[in-house]
Amino acid sequence: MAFEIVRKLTPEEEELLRKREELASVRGALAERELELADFRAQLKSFEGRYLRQVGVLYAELDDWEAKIAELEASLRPSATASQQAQETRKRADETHEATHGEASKARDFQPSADLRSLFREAAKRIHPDFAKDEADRERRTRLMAQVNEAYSQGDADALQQILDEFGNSPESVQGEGIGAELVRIIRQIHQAKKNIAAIEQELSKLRASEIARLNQDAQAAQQEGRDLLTELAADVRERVADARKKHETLAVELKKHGR
Amino acid sequence: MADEHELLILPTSLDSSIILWETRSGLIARGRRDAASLLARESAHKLLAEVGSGKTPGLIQLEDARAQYERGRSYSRGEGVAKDYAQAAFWYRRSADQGYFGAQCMLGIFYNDGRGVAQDYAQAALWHRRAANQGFETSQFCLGCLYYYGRGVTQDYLQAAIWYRKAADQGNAPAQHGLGSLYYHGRGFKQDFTQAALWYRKAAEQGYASAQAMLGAVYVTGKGVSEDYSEAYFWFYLAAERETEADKVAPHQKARDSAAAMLTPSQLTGVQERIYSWKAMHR
Repeated sequence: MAFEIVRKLTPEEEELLRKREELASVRGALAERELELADFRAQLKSFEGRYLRQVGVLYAELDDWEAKIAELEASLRPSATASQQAQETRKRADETHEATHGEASKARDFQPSADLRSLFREAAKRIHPDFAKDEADRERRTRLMAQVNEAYSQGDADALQQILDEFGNSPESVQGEGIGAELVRIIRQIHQAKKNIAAIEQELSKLRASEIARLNQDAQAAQQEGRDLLTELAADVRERVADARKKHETLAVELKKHGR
Repeated sequence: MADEHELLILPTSLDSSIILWETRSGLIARGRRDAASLLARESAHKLLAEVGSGKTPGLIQLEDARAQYERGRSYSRGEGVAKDYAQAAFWYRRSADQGYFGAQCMLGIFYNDGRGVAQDYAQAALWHRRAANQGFETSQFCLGCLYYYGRGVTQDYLQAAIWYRKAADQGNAPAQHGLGSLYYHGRGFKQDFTQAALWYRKAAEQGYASAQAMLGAVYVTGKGVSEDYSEAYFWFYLAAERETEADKVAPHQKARDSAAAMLTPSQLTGVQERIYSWKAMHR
């Protein structure tokens, strides 16, 4: 006859096991949501880059021609309103130019590999500030998490790996912590993580309502019909640029005659 | 420590980057507005093109034209008003002028028959052509007939074939029959009994008596199909029963009976059973 001696767990120990499991699953869920958010942000960022390069630059060109037209009109028929108009259109043209040729236009296409995504998942699970032991740990994790997000959006798997290695496997439990204290800490962490999942959800719906997300959606809908919205839009603006250029030429000729 | 963290989140020069961000989202909103008007313009174009080709008659916006057509039809049928072809022609004309294909077709028929207007094949061809170009099958068939007989247009079997084919593809049985006849007699293109049998069959399956009789004849002669008296009997029987023109009934019956004479009693019973089930399905 074989005997097996099993020590019966105390109710606190049982509860602690249950809570540890719950924490693990909440961590997984949180990492998943963080990944979704990071993916969506990166997708919008790369779409914005494409939009600025393909259409934005044409708007900048159009605004530039319109500013030139306003300036010519101001010198043809000088008045306070005409010169104010010219100044305002020029300002707008400069702003458009700056916005379209800035950092955002350099965003490249984002196609995360399966490896990159699982690295991110792992990092979010381990590093997320919600699972900090104390305030100092929290600060460190917040900083690292920002780096994780940045590395992910750059598609930099090496950097992600490095952050993970650096972080290492910091001990989960706090030394000298009793069962009661650990239970309280874990419950607090679960609560915090759930709050965070809700916050990510809110952030996602805010992003979905943004102009760029809606334009992206329109472009995807058009793609379903075998159309390329950005290309069509670019063609449309290009026509308007051509019109503006013609108008500018006519005005320039008029100004020459007027000058003589 | 806290400062270092802040720096990671906040851009170094806050003001200029907020302005930049605002311009950028303004620029995106601008793109969205332009894209929306672009798409609206496109779909309006598409809608117009569809209405023009008659693909979506349900989408026609010409409510007035439709009402005028209905009014013309009431006069034509004497529904709610005294029957008056001249009045009917007047209202059809008003509707047809606005491009309503139903009225264009009716006006074509009126000119063809000299009903409410002076008989005029050229006018008939003109109005049928307008409706036919909108994809209306009845007018496509009528225009094919005008070409076939050279009424109001220069006689042209190929043009007849083209318009028959357009109507036939839309399931118009008389046009399918007409197309079968063109193939059968080699008019408009090379004689082709297989094609003839194929188009006769399409019209015959729809219960068009003339085509049923021709299909029966095809089975007797074995042109384009293999000779089969059961099939011949089958189609002659239906043709004799369905024929609406009185003087054609007797020849169909005669053909049916001579086909029957070629069949054994059991063959005859078999084909009669098939006739009953065909009739049950095409009631």
